[in-house]
Amino acid sequence: MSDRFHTDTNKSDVLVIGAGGAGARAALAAAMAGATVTLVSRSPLGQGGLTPSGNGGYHAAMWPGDSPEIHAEDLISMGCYLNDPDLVYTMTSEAPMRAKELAEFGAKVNFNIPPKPAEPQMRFPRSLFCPGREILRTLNGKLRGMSNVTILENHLATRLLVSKGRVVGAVTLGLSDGTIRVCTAKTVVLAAGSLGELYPLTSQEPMGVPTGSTGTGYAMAAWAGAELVDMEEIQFAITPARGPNRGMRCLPWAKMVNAKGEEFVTPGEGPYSDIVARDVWREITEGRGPVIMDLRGQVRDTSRKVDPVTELRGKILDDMEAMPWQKPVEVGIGSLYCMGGVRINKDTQTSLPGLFAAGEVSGNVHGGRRVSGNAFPEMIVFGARAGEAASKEALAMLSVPEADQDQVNSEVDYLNTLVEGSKTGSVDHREIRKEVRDIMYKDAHMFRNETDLTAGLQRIDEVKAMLPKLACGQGLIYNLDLVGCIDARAMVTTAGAVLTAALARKESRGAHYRTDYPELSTEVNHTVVVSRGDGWDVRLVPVSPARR
Amino acid sequence: MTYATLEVLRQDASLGIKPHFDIFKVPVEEENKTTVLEALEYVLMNLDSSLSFRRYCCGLQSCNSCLMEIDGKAAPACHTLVEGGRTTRVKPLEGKVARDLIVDK
Repeated sequence: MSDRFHTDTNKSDVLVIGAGGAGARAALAAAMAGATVTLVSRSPLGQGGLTPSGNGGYHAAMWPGDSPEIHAEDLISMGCYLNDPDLVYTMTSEAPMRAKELAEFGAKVNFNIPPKPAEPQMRFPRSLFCPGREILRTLNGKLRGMSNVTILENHLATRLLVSKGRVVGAVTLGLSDGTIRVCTAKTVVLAAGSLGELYPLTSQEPMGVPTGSTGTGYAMAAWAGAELVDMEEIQFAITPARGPNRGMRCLPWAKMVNAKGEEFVTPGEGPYSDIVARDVWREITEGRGPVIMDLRGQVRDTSRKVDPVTELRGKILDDMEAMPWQKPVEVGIGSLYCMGGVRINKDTQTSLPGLFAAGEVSGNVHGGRRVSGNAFPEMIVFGARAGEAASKEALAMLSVPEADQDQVNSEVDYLNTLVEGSKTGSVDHREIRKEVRDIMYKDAHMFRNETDLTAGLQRIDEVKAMLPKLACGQGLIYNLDLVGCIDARAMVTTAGAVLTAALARKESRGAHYRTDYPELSTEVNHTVVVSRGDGWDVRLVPVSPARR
Repeated sequence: MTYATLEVLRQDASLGIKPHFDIFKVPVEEENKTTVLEALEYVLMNLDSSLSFRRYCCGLQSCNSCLMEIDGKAAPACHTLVEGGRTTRVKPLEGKVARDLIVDK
C-alpha cells in the first residue's frame, strides 16, 4: 500500500460533525425534513463521546405550577446572569415537547419526576430520565433505516472548509479505510463535543480512558473564523484522583481531610458543589494535600432513590472496591463541563454563514454554571433545532457550494505530511498533550490570575511552534498515533482560546475565579474570542437583557 | 509498585506486519485495581504509540466498544482486571482484523 491517503468526495445537503446526542438528533431532524444528510462519527455509532455515559437526568418544567419561565429564571440565577436568555428560554420552552418527541421515537423516557428538586435552588422538581445510551440507541436505530442518511463511522473531521466567507463542508479522515474525504454540503452542523481532556484530571475520561474530548470542535470553528463565547467558563468538580473511579464526580458533603487529617470545608459554606471544590483545590495547591475522602463507618443512604444508571455505576465501582465507602480515596479537581463554546443564536446559527452548532461545543446556554440535568435538554433541544434550521436553509439552496481547492490541498498535504513525518519529524504528540495539560493545570485551572494566564499563553505559543515538527508512526488504518497528532493541534488552539478568554474576564463570575479580581463586576459581559491565525481578537459583549 | 504483564497480539496487513505477540510491563498500584483497558491506555501513552485498539470507555459496561479476547474468552476490557505478577493475554475478537486489536464489522 502507498503511504499516502486515498482521497474521495462526499456531497450532501447537511453535514453533521459529531454523533453524540446533539449530532444524532440534528441528523435525524434534517433527514426527517427531507434533506440528504452525512453524519460524521469519530467512533462506531454509540461507542464514543460522552453521551453514552450520561445518567439521563433531563430537566423539563412539567411539575404542577412550574413553567418554562420559572425554569429559565432558576437557570439564569444559578448561571450568575451570564446565560444568553434567548437560548435559555428556548431550551426551557421546548424541553417538555422534545422529551415527548424522544418517547414517540421509541426511547424509554421516565416521566415520573421524583418529587424533590435536584438542587435546593431549583424551585420545582424537574428530573425526567432518559439515559444517554437509550437516546443514542433510539436515534441511531432511526438513522440507520433512512435512505437519505450516510453515516461515516470511524471518521475524524479535521478541518472546516470555508469558501467565499461561507462554511461549505469539512475534510474528514477515514480511520478504517485510510481515505481522506472532502465532504461538501449546503450547511454544516458542528456537534463535536467538549474539551475536558485539556485538563489532566477530568470527568470526561470514564474509568481512566479518554473519550476524545480534546476540543476539536472549538478549534475547527476557530480556524474557520467563528466567534467563541465565554470559553473561560469551565466547570470543575471534586473527583477521585486515582484508581478506576477517577474522574467520577463525588458528592461535596462527604467528609474530606487534608494531609494533617484536618477537616477544611467550612460548614454550611454554600450549596454549590463547585464552591466546596474550591476549598479542595486550595488545600491541594497550597501544599496541604493530598486530600482524602473517607466515608467508612458512615451509614450508606440506600433510601435515596437514584436513577438506574447511577445505580449501575455504583455497582461497577463497588465490584472494583473503589468506592469511598470501602476505603479512603484520594480526591482531586477535574474538569466537568464547558459552558462556553461556539457562539449561537436560538436557531443555532453561528457567526459564520453555513455553520450551525449544538450541544456542549456551543455556548452559552448555561452561563457561569451548568445545573445538573440541563445538559441533556440542551443537547436534544438545540440538536433538533440545528437539524431543522440547517435543513431549512439547505433545502432553499439550489446547489452544494464548491470547496476552495487550495484549502483542500493544504489539509490533505498536512495529513500526508504527518504520516510521512515518521521520516522527518521529531516531536511526539504525547509530549504536546502532556504540555498542554500541564499549562492548563498550572495556569487556567480553578484559580486564575493575570500573571499565570499570561505565562500560560506564552507557553502555548511555544508549544504551537512545535506543531510543524509533529511526527507519527506509519500506517493509514486506525493509526492512533496520527489521531493523537490531529488532536494535539486542536488542543493547542482550544487551550489558547480558554486562556485568552480567562485573561479578558477581569472579574469572578460562575466557574471563572480570578484571585486578582475576586469580585463580581457590575456589568455583565460575554467574552468573545476570534482566531486570527497568530493570536486572538478579544472583545466584551453585553449580555442581552432577559426576555420577559 | 508491581508490574502486570500484557501479551498483545499485534498485526497490520497494510504495513506487512504479520501477527505476533508483543510483551509489555505495566505498573499497577496495589491499592487500586487496574483494568485491561487502562493497561492498554498506559501502553499507548507511555510504551508504544503504535498500538491500536478501540480507545473508548462508556464507564457503564454497556457499549461493548472494548470487547476483545482476554485469556481465551471474549470479555470487555473495561472491567476485566490485570494483576501485578500475572500475565494477561489479549487478542482481537474473531473477524476481520483491521489493526492490532481492532476488528471491523
